[in-house]
Amino acid sequence: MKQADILKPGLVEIGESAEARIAAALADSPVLRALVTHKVNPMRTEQVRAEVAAGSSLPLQLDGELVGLVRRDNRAEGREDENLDAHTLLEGLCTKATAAAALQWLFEQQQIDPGDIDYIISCGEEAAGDRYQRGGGGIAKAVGEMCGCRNASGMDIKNFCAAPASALVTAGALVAAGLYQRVAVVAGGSLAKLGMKSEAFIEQGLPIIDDCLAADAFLVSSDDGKSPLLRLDKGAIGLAKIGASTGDEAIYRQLLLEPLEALSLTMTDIDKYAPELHNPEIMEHARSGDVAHKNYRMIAAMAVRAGAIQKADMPAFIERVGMVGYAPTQGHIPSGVAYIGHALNEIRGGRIQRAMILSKASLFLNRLTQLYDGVSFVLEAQPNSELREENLRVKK
Amino acid sequence: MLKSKKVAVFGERDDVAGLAVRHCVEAAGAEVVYETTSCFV
Repeated sequence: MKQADILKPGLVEIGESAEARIAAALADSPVLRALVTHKVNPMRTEQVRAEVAAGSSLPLQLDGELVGLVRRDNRAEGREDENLDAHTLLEGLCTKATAAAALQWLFEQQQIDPGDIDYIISCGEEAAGDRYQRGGGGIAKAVGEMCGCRNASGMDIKNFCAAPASALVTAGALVAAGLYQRVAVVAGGSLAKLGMKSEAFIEQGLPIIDDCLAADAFLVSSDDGKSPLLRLDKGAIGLAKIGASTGDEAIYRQLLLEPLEALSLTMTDIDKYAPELHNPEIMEHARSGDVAHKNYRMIAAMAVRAGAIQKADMPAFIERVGMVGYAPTQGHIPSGVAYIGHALNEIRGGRIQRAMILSKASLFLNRLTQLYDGVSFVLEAQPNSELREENLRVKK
Repeated sequence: MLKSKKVAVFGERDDVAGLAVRHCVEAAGAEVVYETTSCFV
Protein backbone atom coordinates (compact mmCIF):
# COMPACT_ATOMS: atom_id res chain seq x y z
CA MET A 1 0.00 0.00 0.00
CA LYS A 2 2.91 2.34 0.62
CA GLN A 3 4.08 1.65 -2.95
CA ALA A 4 0.54 2.43 -4.17
CA ASP A 5 0.56 5.78 -2.33
CA ILE A 6 1.52 8.63 -4.68
CA LEU A 7 0.56 11.66 -2.54
CA LYS A 8 3.07 14.10 -1.08
CA PRO A 9 2.90 14.20 1.89
CA GLY A 10 2.09 10.52 1.88
CA LEU A 11 -1.10 8.81 3.02
CA VAL A 12 0.68 5.71 4.30
CA GLU A 13 3.59 5.66 6.71
CA ILE A 14 5.55 2.56 7.69
CA GLY A 15 7.15 2.49 11.13
CA GLU A 16 10.88 1.96 11.49
CA SER A 17 10.37 -1.24 13.50
CA ALA A 18 8.75 -2.99 10.57
CA GLU A 19 10.14 -1.35 7.45
CA ALA A 20 13.14 -3.66 6.98
CA ARG A 21 11.00 -6.78 7.54
CA ILE A 22 8.37 -5.65 5.02
CA ALA A 23 11.00 -4.61 2.46
CA ALA A 24 12.70 -8.02 2.79
CA ALA A 25 9.39 -9.86 2.32
CA LEU A 26 8.65 -7.82 -0.82
CA ALA A 27 12.15 -8.40 -2.20
CA ASP A 28 11.68 -12.15 -1.66
CA SER A 29 8.48 -12.24 -3.68
CA PRO A 30 9.06 -12.83 -7.41
CA VAL A 31 5.76 -11.06 -8.12
CA LEU A 32 5.58 -8.21 -5.64
CA ARG A 33 9.18 -7.05 -5.90
CA ALA A 34 8.42 -5.65 -9.36
CA LEU A 35 5.95 -3.26 -7.71
CA VAL A 36 8.58 -1.73 -5.43
CA THR A 37 9.53 1.40 -7.31
CA HIS A 38 10.52 3.78 -4.57
CA LYS A 39 12.44 3.54 -1.34
CA VAL A 40 10.40 3.94 1.82
CA ASN A 41 11.63 6.34 4.45
CA PRO A 42 10.34 4.84 7.68
CA MET A 43 8.65 6.90 10.38
CA ARG A 44 9.83 6.77 13.96
CA THR A 45 7.65 4.36 15.95
CA GLU A 46 6.87 6.98 18.63
CA GLN A 47 5.69 9.33 15.90
CA VAL A 48 3.42 6.64 14.44
CA ARG A 49 1.98 5.95 17.89
CA ALA A 50 1.46 9.66 18.63
CA GLU A 51 -0.26 10.40 15.32
CA VAL A 52 -2.61 7.43 15.67
CA ALA A 53 -3.38 8.45 19.26
CA ALA A 54 -4.22 11.97 18.04
CA GLY A 55 -7.24 10.52 16.27
CA SER A 56 -7.55 11.13 12.55
CA SER A 57 -5.06 8.51 11.31
CA LEU A 58 -5.74 4.78 11.27
CA PRO A 59 -3.25 2.27 12.69
CA LEU A 60 -1.74 -0.42 10.46
CA GLN A 61 -1.02 -3.55 12.44
CA LEU A 62 0.86 -6.72 11.60
CA ASP A 63 0.37 -9.66 13.97
CA GLY A 64 -0.97 -7.24 16.55
CA GLU A 65 2.03 -4.94 16.35
CA LEU A 66 1.66 -1.30 15.27
CA VAL A 67 3.70 -1.07 12.05
CA GLY A 68 2.40 2.08 10.41
CA LEU A 69 -0.55 4.31 9.75
CA VAL A 70 -2.89 5.65 7.07
CA ARG A 71 -3.87 9.29 7.20
CA ARG A 72 -6.46 11.46 5.52
CA ASP A 73 -5.61 13.92 2.75
CA ASN A 74 -4.41 16.75 4.95
CA ARG A 75 -3.79 19.19 2.14
CA ALA A 76 -5.96 22.30 2.05
CA GLU A 77 -8.16 20.91 -0.74
CA GLY A 78 -8.77 17.66 1.13
CA ARG A 79 -8.99 18.67 4.75
CA GLU A 80 -12.77 19.17 4.94
CA ASP A 81 -13.82 16.39 2.56
CA GLU A 82 -15.23 13.25 4.20
CA ASN A 83 -14.51 11.34 0.98
CA LEU A 84 -10.82 11.91 1.64
CA ASP A 85 -10.70 10.68 5.22
CA ALA A 86 -8.28 7.95 6.18
CA HIS A 87 -10.81 5.13 6.03
CA THR A 88 -12.09 5.98 2.53
CA LEU A 89 -8.61 6.53 1.15
CA LEU A 90 -7.52 3.22 2.69
CA GLU A 91 -10.27 1.50 0.68
CA GLY A 92 -8.88 3.04 -2.51
CA LEU A 93 -5.30 2.14 -1.64
CA CYS A 94 -6.32 -1.45 -0.87
CA THR A 95 -8.09 -1.88 -4.19
CA LYS A 96 -5.23 -0.30 -6.13
CA ALA A 97 -2.52 -2.33 -4.38
CA THR A 98 -4.32 -5.67 -4.63
CA ALA A 99 -5.33 -5.13 -8.26
CA ALA A 100 -1.71 -4.27 -9.06
CA ALA A 101 -0.55 -7.44 -7.28
CA ALA A 102 -3.01 -9.54 -9.30
CA LEU A 103 -1.99 -7.90 -12.58
CA GLN A 104 1.69 -8.33 -11.79
CA TRP A 105 0.99 -11.98 -10.98
CA LEU A 106 -0.64 -12.36 -14.42
CA PHE A 107 2.39 -10.76 -16.10
CA GLU A 108 4.79 -13.02 -14.22
CA GLN A 109 2.78 -16.20 -14.77
CA GLN A 110 2.14 -15.62 -18.49
CA GLN A 111 5.48 -13.91 -19.18
CA ILE A 112 3.75 -10.77 -20.50
CA ASP A 113 5.63 -7.52 -21.04
CA PRO A 114 3.52 -4.78 -19.36
CA GLY A 115 4.36 -2.57 -22.36
CA ASP A 116 2.35 -4.91 -24.58
CA ILE A 117 -0.95 -4.14 -22.84
CA ASP A 118 -3.09 -1.78 -24.93
CA TYR A 119 -5.95 -1.12 -22.56
CA ILE A 120 -6.94 -1.78 -18.93
CA ILE A 121 -10.42 -2.03 -17.47
CA SER A 122 -10.82 -1.88 -13.70
CA CYS A 123 -14.02 -3.41 -12.33
CA GLY A 124 -13.55 -3.43 -8.56
CA GLU A 125 -16.21 -2.10 -6.23
CA GLU A 126 -14.51 0.94 -4.77
CA ALA A 127 -15.63 4.49 -5.52
CA ALA A 128 -12.53 6.68 -5.50
CA GLY A 129 -12.76 10.44 -5.87
CA ASP A 130 -13.45 13.56 -3.83
CA ARG A 131 -16.80 15.09 -2.86
CA TYR A 132 -17.36 16.53 -6.31
CA GLN A 133 -16.87 13.24 -8.17
CA ARG A 134 -17.03 10.30 -5.81
CA GLY A 135 -16.71 7.14 -7.90
CA GLY A 136 -15.28 9.12 -10.79
CA GLY A 137 -12.94 6.33 -11.84
CA GLY A 138 -9.27 6.34 -12.77
CA ILE A 139 -8.42 3.15 -10.91
CA ALA A 140 -7.54 1.22 -14.11
CA LYS A 141 -4.88 3.71 -15.11
CA ALA A 142 -3.60 4.01 -11.53
CA VAL A 143 -3.09 0.23 -11.47
CA GLY A 144 -1.54 0.22 -14.94
CA GLU A 145 0.84 3.00 -13.93
CA MET A 146 1.94 0.98 -10.90
CA CYS A 147 2.53 -2.10 -13.08
CA GLY A 148 4.49 -0.34 -15.81
CA CYS A 149 1.83 -0.56 -18.54
CA ARG A 150 3.31 2.46 -20.27
CA ASN A 151 1.50 1.96 -23.57
CA ALA A 152 -1.97 1.37 -22.15
CA SER A 153 -4.91 3.60 -21.51
CA GLY A 154 -7.91 2.47 -19.53
CA MET A 155 -11.21 3.09 -17.84
CA ASP A 156 -13.32 1.82 -14.96
CA ILE A 157 -16.56 -0.12 -15.26
CA LYS A 158 -19.07 -0.21 -12.41
CA ASN A 159 -21.80 -2.80 -12.14
CA PHE A 160 -21.74 -3.98 -8.53
CA CYS A 161 -20.78 -7.67 -8.31
CA ALA A 162 -21.32 -8.20 -12.05
CA ALA A 163 -18.75 -5.56 -13.01
CA PRO A 164 -16.01 -8.13 -13.83
CA ALA A 165 -18.39 -10.00 -16.14
CA SER A 166 -19.44 -6.71 -17.78
CA ALA A 167 -15.77 -5.71 -18.08
CA LEU A 168 -14.77 -9.02 -19.66
CA VAL A 169 -17.56 -8.77 -22.21
CA THR A 170 -16.54 -5.17 -22.96
CA ALA A 171 -12.89 -6.22 -23.26
CA GLY A 172 -13.88 -9.00 -25.63
CA ALA A 173 -15.90 -6.59 -27.74
CA LEU A 174 -13.03 -4.08 -27.90
CA VAL A 175 -10.67 -6.83 -29.07
CA ALA A 176 -13.20 -8.32 -31.49
CA ALA A 177 -13.77 -4.86 -32.99
CA GLY A 178 -10.03 -4.61 -33.63
CA LEU A 179 -9.52 -1.52 -31.46
CA TYR A 180 -7.06 -3.26 -29.12
CA GLN A 181 -5.17 -6.53 -29.14
CA ARG A 182 -4.51 -7.09 -25.45
CA VAL A 183 -6.91 -5.80 -22.80
CA ALA A 184 -6.23 -6.43 -19.12
CA VAL A 185 -9.26 -6.64 -16.83
CA VAL A 186 -8.45 -6.04 -13.17
CA ALA A 187 -10.50 -6.00 -9.97
CA GLY A 188 -8.93 -5.04 -6.68
CA GLY A 189 -10.08 -6.23 -3.28
CA SER A 190 -12.91 -4.68 -1.31
CA LEU A 191 -11.89 -3.51 2.15
CA ALA A 192 -15.50 -2.61 2.96
CA LYS A 193 -16.48 -6.26 2.54
CA LEU A 194 -13.67 -7.65 4.64
CA GLY A 195 -15.36 -9.59 7.41
CA MET A 196 -18.82 -8.75 6.05
CA LYS A 197 -20.16 -12.09 7.31
CA SER A 198 -18.17 -12.13 10.54
CA GLU A 199 -20.94 -11.39 13.06
CA ALA A 200 -21.83 -15.01 13.81
CA PHE A 201 -18.16 -15.95 14.02
CA ILE A 202 -17.44 -13.16 16.51
CA GLU A 203 -20.52 -14.05 18.58
CA GLN A 204 -19.27 -17.60 18.94
CA GLY A 205 -15.61 -16.77 19.44
CA LEU A 206 -14.63 -18.47 16.17
CA PRO A 207 -11.94 -17.28 13.75
CA ILE A 208 -13.33 -14.98 11.03
CA ILE A 209 -12.97 -16.87 7.74
CA ASP A 210 -13.78 -14.08 5.28
CA ASP A 211 -10.51 -12.45 6.13
CA CYS A 212 -8.87 -11.79 2.78
CA LEU A 213 -8.83 -9.07 0.17
CA ALA A 214 -9.24 -10.96 -3.11
CA ALA A 215 -8.29 -9.56 -6.50
CA ASP A 216 -8.60 -10.67 -10.11
CA ALA A 217 -6.63 -10.02 -13.27
CA PHE A 218 -7.50 -11.37 -16.72
CA LEU A 219 -6.00 -10.89 -20.15
CA VAL A 220 -8.42 -10.76 -23.07
CA SER A 221 -6.53 -10.93 -26.35
CA SER A 222 -7.15 -11.59 -30.01
CA ASP A 223 -7.50 -15.25 -30.97
CA ASP A 224 -4.15 -17.03 -30.69
CA GLY A 225 -5.56 -20.30 -32.00
CA LYS A 226 -4.91 -22.02 -28.65
CA SER A 227 -6.61 -20.22 -25.78
CA PRO A 228 -10.27 -20.83 -24.89
CA LEU A 229 -12.70 -18.53 -26.67
CA LEU A 230 -15.11 -15.99 -25.23
CA ARG A 231 -18.24 -16.40 -27.35
CA LEU A 232 -19.39 -12.99 -28.56
CA ASP A 233 -21.89 -14.09 -31.21
CA LYS A 234 -25.04 -12.04 -31.58
CA GLY A 235 -27.31 -12.82 -28.63
CA ALA A 236 -24.66 -14.90 -26.85
CA ILE A 237 -24.27 -12.55 -23.89
CA GLY A 238 -26.89 -13.04 -21.19
CA LEU A 239 -28.57 -9.86 -20.00
CA ALA A 240 -31.26 -8.77 -17.59
CA LYS A 241 -33.22 -6.23 -19.59
CA ILE A 242 -34.71 -3.18 -17.87
CA GLY A 243 -38.15 -3.83 -19.26
CA ALA A 244 -38.24 -7.48 -18.24
CA SER A 245 -39.92 -8.78 -15.11
CA THR A 246 -37.67 -9.08 -12.06
CA GLY A 247 -39.11 -12.54 -11.47
CA ASP A 248 -36.56 -15.33 -11.19
CA GLU A 249 -37.77 -17.24 -14.22
CA ALA A 250 -37.73 -14.22 -16.49
CA ILE A 251 -34.24 -13.24 -15.36
CA TYR A 252 -32.85 -16.76 -15.72
CA ARG A 253 -34.50 -17.14 -19.11
CA GLN A 254 -32.49 -14.12 -20.32
CA LEU A 255 -29.32 -15.15 -18.55
CA LEU A 256 -29.33 -18.85 -19.36
CA LEU A 257 -31.70 -19.98 -22.05
CA GLU A 258 -31.64 -17.13 -24.58
CA PRO A 259 -27.81 -16.99 -24.89
CA LEU A 260 -27.66 -20.76 -25.28
CA GLU A 261 -30.37 -20.64 -27.93
CA ALA A 262 -28.35 -17.96 -29.76
CA LEU A 263 -25.39 -20.35 -29.74
CA SER A 264 -27.56 -23.31 -30.82
CA LEU A 265 -26.74 -25.02 -27.54
CA THR A 266 -28.86 -26.60 -24.83
CA MET A 267 -28.32 -26.49 -21.09
CA THR A 268 -26.68 -29.91 -21.11
CA ASP A 269 -24.05 -28.70 -23.60
CA ILE A 270 -22.47 -26.65 -20.81
CA ASP A 271 -20.05 -28.73 -18.73
CA LYS A 272 -19.74 -26.30 -15.81
CA TYR A 273 -21.84 -23.37 -14.66
CA ALA A 274 -20.20 -20.73 -12.46
CA PRO A 275 -22.79 -18.63 -10.61
CA GLU A 276 -22.31 -16.97 -7.17
CA LEU A 277 -19.48 -19.09 -5.72
CA HIS A 278 -19.46 -17.94 -2.12
CA ASN A 279 -17.80 -20.29 0.33
CA PRO A 280 -20.63 -22.10 2.21
CA GLU A 281 -18.41 -22.51 5.28
CA ILE A 282 -18.75 -18.75 5.66
CA MET A 283 -22.26 -18.27 4.34
CA GLU A 284 -24.00 -21.07 6.22
CA HIS A 285 -22.38 -20.16 9.49
CA ALA A 286 -23.48 -16.56 8.91
CA ARG A 287 -27.04 -17.91 8.45
CA SER A 288 -27.17 -16.86 4.78
CA GLY A 289 -27.37 -20.45 3.51
CA ASP A 290 -25.35 -22.11 0.79
CA VAL A 291 -25.61 -19.38 -1.84
CA ALA A 292 -23.79 -21.37 -4.53
CA HIS A 293 -26.12 -24.33 -4.08
CA LYS A 294 -29.20 -22.09 -4.17
CA ASN A 295 -28.03 -20.77 -7.53
CA TYR A 296 -27.43 -24.29 -8.84
CA ARG A 297 -30.92 -25.27 -7.73
CA MET A 298 -32.31 -22.43 -9.84
CA ILE A 299 -30.10 -23.37 -12.82
CA ALA A 300 -31.29 -27.00 -12.56
CA ALA A 301 -34.91 -25.84 -12.30
CA MET A 302 -34.45 -23.87 -15.50
CA ALA A 303 -32.98 -26.97 -17.17
CA VAL A 304 -36.20 -28.78 -16.20
CA ARG A 305 -38.35 -25.92 -17.52
CA ALA A 306 -36.37 -25.98 -20.78
CA GLY A 307 -36.93 -29.71 -21.11
CA ALA A 308 -33.20 -30.43 -21.00
CA ILE A 309 -33.48 -32.75 -17.96
CA GLN A 310 -36.20 -34.44 -15.91
CA LYS A 311 -37.06 -33.07 -12.47
CA ALA A 312 -35.80 -36.27 -10.85
CA ASP A 313 -32.41 -35.68 -12.48
CA MET A 314 -31.86 -32.30 -10.79
CA PRO A 315 -29.45 -33.55 -8.07
CA ALA A 316 -27.34 -35.49 -10.58
CA PHE A 317 -27.34 -32.48 -12.95
CA ILE A 318 -26.18 -30.20 -10.13
CA GLU A 319 -23.48 -32.70 -9.21
CA ARG A 320 -22.28 -32.76 -12.82
CA VAL A 321 -22.35 -29.05 -13.74
CA GLY A 322 -21.86 -27.51 -10.30
CA MET A 323 -19.18 -27.07 -7.71
CA VAL A 324 -18.95 -26.25 -4.03
CA GLY A 325 -18.51 -22.50 -3.50
CA TYR A 326 -15.02 -21.55 -2.46
CA ALA A 327 -14.64 -17.78 -2.88
CA PRO A 328 -14.46 -15.24 -0.05
CA THR A 329 -17.31 -12.76 0.38
CA GLN A 330 -15.70 -10.12 -1.81
CA GLY A 331 -18.77 -9.47 -3.97
CA HIS A 332 -17.30 -9.06 -7.43
CA ILE A 333 -14.89 -12.01 -6.99
CA PRO A 334 -17.29 -14.90 -6.23
CA SER A 335 -19.81 -13.67 -8.79
CA GLY A 336 -18.96 -16.27 -11.44
CA VAL A 337 -15.53 -14.98 -12.47
CA ALA A 338 -13.68 -16.74 -9.64
CA TYR A 339 -14.00 -19.90 -11.74
CA ILE A 340 -12.46 -18.47 -14.93
CA GLY A 341 -8.88 -19.46 -14.13
CA HIS A 342 -10.02 -23.01 -13.37
CA ALA A 343 -12.25 -23.04 -16.46
CA LEU A 344 -9.31 -22.11 -18.67
CA ASN A 345 -7.24 -24.93 -17.18
CA GLU A 346 -10.06 -27.42 -17.55
CA ILE A 347 -10.74 -26.40 -21.16
CA ARG A 348 -7.05 -26.41 -22.07
CA GLY A 349 -6.72 -29.80 -20.39
CA GLY A 350 -9.59 -31.17 -22.46
CA ARG A 351 -11.59 -32.09 -19.36
CA ILE A 352 -14.45 -29.76 -20.24
CA GLN A 353 -15.44 -28.09 -23.47
CA ARG A 354 -17.60 -25.23 -22.26
CA ALA A 355 -18.22 -23.21 -19.12
CA MET A 356 -20.87 -20.58 -18.53
CA ILE A 357 -20.17 -17.68 -16.19
CA LEU A 358 -23.30 -16.21 -14.57
CA SER A 359 -22.88 -13.02 -12.64
CA LYS A 360 -25.50 -11.11 -10.68
CA ALA A 361 -25.55 -7.55 -9.39
CA SER A 362 -27.83 -6.02 -6.75
CA LEU A 363 -28.37 -2.68 -8.41
CA PHE A 364 -31.05 -1.87 -5.85
CA LEU A 365 -28.30 -1.32 -3.28
CA ASN A 366 -27.78 2.12 -4.87
CA ARG A 367 -31.25 3.11 -3.58
CA LEU A 368 -32.04 4.48 -7.04
CA THR A 369 -33.81 1.49 -8.58
CA GLN A 370 -35.48 -1.78 -7.62
CA LEU A 371 -33.72 -3.62 -10.43
CA TYR A 372 -31.00 -6.19 -10.24
CA ASP A 373 -28.70 -7.10 -13.07
CA GLY A 374 -27.23 -10.22 -14.53
CA VAL A 375 -24.53 -10.89 -17.09
CA SER A 376 -23.56 -14.27 -18.52
CA PHE A 377 -21.18 -15.56 -21.16
CA VAL A 378 -19.76 -18.81 -22.44
CA LEU A 379 -16.10 -19.82 -22.56
CA GLU A 380 -15.38 -22.55 -25.05
CA ALA A 381 -12.56 -24.72 -26.37
CA GLN A 382 -11.05 -23.89 -29.72
CA PRO A 383 -13.05 -25.62 -32.44
CA ASN A 384 -11.20 -28.63 -33.79
CA SER A 385 -7.92 -27.39 -32.39
CA GLU A 386 -5.05 -29.84 -32.44
CA LEU A 387 -4.75 -29.31 -28.72
CA ARG A 388 -8.33 -30.33 -28.18
CA GLU A 389 -8.07 -33.32 -30.50
CA GLU A 390 -4.98 -34.43 -28.64
CA ASN A 391 -6.67 -34.01 -25.29
CA LEU A 392 -9.76 -35.82 -26.44
CA ARG A 393 -7.56 -38.62 -27.67
CA VAL A 394 -5.95 -38.78 -24.23
CA LYS A 395 -9.38 -38.79 -22.61
CA LYS A 396 -10.57 -41.61 -24.82
CA MET B 1 -55.03 -19.49 5.90
CA LEU B 2 -53.89 -16.31 4.11
CA LYS B 3 -57.28 -15.19 2.82
CA SER B 4 -57.91 -11.48 3.54
CA LYS B 5 -54.61 -11.21 5.43
CA LYS B 6 -52.12 -8.42 4.86
CA VAL B 7 -48.62 -9.73 4.06
CA ALA B 8 -45.14 -8.19 4.06
CA VAL B 9 -42.84 -10.11 1.73
CA PHE B 10 -39.08 -10.34 2.23
CA GLY B 11 -37.43 -12.16 -0.66
CA GLU B 12 -33.80 -13.04 -1.34
CA ARG B 13 -31.95 -12.45 -4.59
CA ASP B 14 -30.16 -15.82 -4.45
CA ASP B 15 -33.13 -17.80 -3.22
CA VAL B 16 -36.86 -17.15 -3.47
CA ALA B 17 -37.35 -13.63 -4.81
CA GLY B 18 -40.03 -11.35 -3.38
CA LEU B 19 -42.03 -11.43 -6.59
CA ALA B 20 -42.36 -15.24 -6.46
CA VAL B 21 -43.61 -15.05 -2.87
CA ARG B 22 -46.04 -12.28 -3.87
CA HIS B 23 -47.54 -14.48 -6.58
CA CYS B 24 -47.97 -17.37 -4.14
CA VAL B 25 -49.58 -15.41 -1.30
CA GLU B 26 -51.82 -13.43 -3.66
CA ALA B 27 -52.98 -16.71 -5.18
CA ALA B 28 -53.85 -17.78 -1.64
CA GLY B 29 -56.02 -14.66 -1.19
CA ALA B 30 -53.66 -12.37 0.74
CA GLU B 31 -52.99 -8.70 0.10
CA VAL B 32 -49.29 -7.82 -0.23
CA VAL B 33 -48.70 -4.50 1.52
CA TYR B 34 -44.90 -4.55 1.21
CA GLU B 35 -42.51 -6.50 -0.97
CA THR B 36 -38.73 -6.39 -1.21
CA THR B 37 -35.92 -8.58 -2.43
CA SER B 38 -32.64 -8.27 -0.59
CA CYS B 39 -29.07 -9.29 -1.25
CA PHE B 40 -27.19 -11.15 1.48
CA VAL B 41 -23.85 -11.49 -0.23
